[in-house]
Amino acid sequence: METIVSRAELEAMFDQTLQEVTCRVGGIRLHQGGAPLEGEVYTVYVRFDRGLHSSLCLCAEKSMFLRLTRFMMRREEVTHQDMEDFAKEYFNVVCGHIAAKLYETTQMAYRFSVPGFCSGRYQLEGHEEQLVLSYSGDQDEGAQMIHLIPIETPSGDWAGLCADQAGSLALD
Amino acid sequence: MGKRIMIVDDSRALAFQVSGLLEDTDYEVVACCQTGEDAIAEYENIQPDLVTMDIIMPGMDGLETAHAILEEHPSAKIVMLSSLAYDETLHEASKIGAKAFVCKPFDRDELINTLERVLAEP
Repeated sequence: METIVSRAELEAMFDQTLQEVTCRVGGIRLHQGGAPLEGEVYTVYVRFDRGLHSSLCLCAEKSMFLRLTRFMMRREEVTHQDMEDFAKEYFNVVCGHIAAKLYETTQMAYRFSVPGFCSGRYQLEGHEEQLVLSYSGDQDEGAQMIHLIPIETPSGDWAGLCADQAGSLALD
Repeated sequence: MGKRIMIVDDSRALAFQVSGLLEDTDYEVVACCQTGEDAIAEYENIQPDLVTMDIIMPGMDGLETAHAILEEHPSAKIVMLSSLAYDETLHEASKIGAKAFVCKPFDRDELINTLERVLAEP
């Protein structure tokens, strides 16, 4: 059975969850909008492998990940490894809550990979950006939530997910 | 004597946070396992009073790991700690015999109240 989640619904789920979790877990208030990312940027990402065959990333300036890590560890001195570990744990929580919201809407189970972390912007071969939500933190940290979906396969099929002309997603 | 807790989570961050929340309590973190396979092997050696278990992990996931531990040790007390909290996972955790499910993010009171309640059960 195919369940349609509109692009607007998906965007609202991503936005609401990211803002709520970032505030509660990281002590950072995000608002939509903001300038392009500047300076050193990192990306934390997961791949959904059940329910939704796509990837979700948060690409943000180092200042945001550092602030998040200091808040979560409750100390000022943090290492690069701390930043990576805590960014991954934070994004695991974000994605878990998104999976729960998707379940409420579609009654389908969602699973995703262990989060990864990389320097720069995450590129995934065979995927394209379907949604990009830009944010500024309350101390001007820039961040972007990016939903990557598979591009068409040579046979013309979509790999587990398709978009209709209105931009809705059919989740298998 | 303090209660001995084993944390199963691939995230070093989660282990750090849980250990911090349990500081100055009667709970002692005696092991942190980053994979389900390690947890199954270590459970036998450590015989903890309670296990906290994540779901999303590399290799065996937390539900599979909990199931495997409970098959060998039916009296094991396992509390799932995960952000993947929706009907299907809650039901599956309960079905395999996990004693409780705490949704991430959680605070100190939520964690300690759950550990107390589960450890008080016969």
